[in-house]
Amino acid sequence: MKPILAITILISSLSTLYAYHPEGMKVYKKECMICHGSPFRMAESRKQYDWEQMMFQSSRPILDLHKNEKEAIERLGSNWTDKKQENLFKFLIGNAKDSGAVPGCDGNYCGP
Amino acid sequence: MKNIFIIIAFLVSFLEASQIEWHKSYEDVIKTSTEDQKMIMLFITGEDCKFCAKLKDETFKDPDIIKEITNKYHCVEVTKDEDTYPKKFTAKGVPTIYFLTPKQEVIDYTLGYYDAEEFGYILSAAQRRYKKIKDTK
Ligand code: HEC
Repeated sequence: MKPILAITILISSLSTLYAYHPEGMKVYKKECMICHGSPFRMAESRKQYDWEQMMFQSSRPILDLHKNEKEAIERLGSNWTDKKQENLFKFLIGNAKDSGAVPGCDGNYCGP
Repeated sequence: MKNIFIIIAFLVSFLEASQIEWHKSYEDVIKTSTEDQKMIMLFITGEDCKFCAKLKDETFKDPDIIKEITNKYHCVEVTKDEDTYPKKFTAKGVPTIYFLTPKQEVIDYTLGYYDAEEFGYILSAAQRRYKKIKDTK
């Protein structure tokens, strides 16, 4: 096995321990943060049910949301994948307004 | 000739704030911000909070971040459940940062550690939200 692959597997299995979905957070940081800023504020802007509704309403809900935002479509459109979408929604749903997520000492912050 | 350079260096050091200036208390920051109408950055920390320390030691030492924060905000650091500040500014975890208008309305908030680039995005998004709030009034 190539070492890089082994490392990737190790990191991804470790990261599932975190409550706040680091993979989804990573997608948010890379794709959304430049325009929307604070990740937790975005997640808490809707309830779990609303994010789920959005997730199932089409195959590319994030692109639909931005159909009138040329710049966003240009940034997101070309490299958007199912995997990114899945991880992003895990983060958004997991940290939604009513998620009650009260994590302990997590990837980048500590709970109460 | 050498003296001139020293004087210039000295003057430049005054123009560019080299660190974030923290106000002593929440009360103090409200007072100052009411006077000059700058926004408020409320930094909620906790005891033994390593990500608060990292944020302060790394992100808040970045020259661009310092400049951006110093230009637009008055800052205050409070310890969760210990210092006096309005209870409505809850913190699910620490570090939590609230960006407030001079009237103490929430513009934006954020939770956790971010590097300078990410924090820059948070600051500019907060700025856009503030503009929106002002425009809709
Ligand atoms: C190029 C900038 C840009 C990027 C990148 C971008 N957006 Fe947006 N987004 C906008 C703009 C502009 C709007 C419409 C104005 C508004 O409501 O803020 C918007 C609207 C939205 C909305 C609906 C309004 C709201 O705030 O609830 C959501 C949800 C959203 N974006 C999520 C995302 C997510 C998730 C990502 C990352 C996958 C993302 N956006 C990436 C610019 C962007």
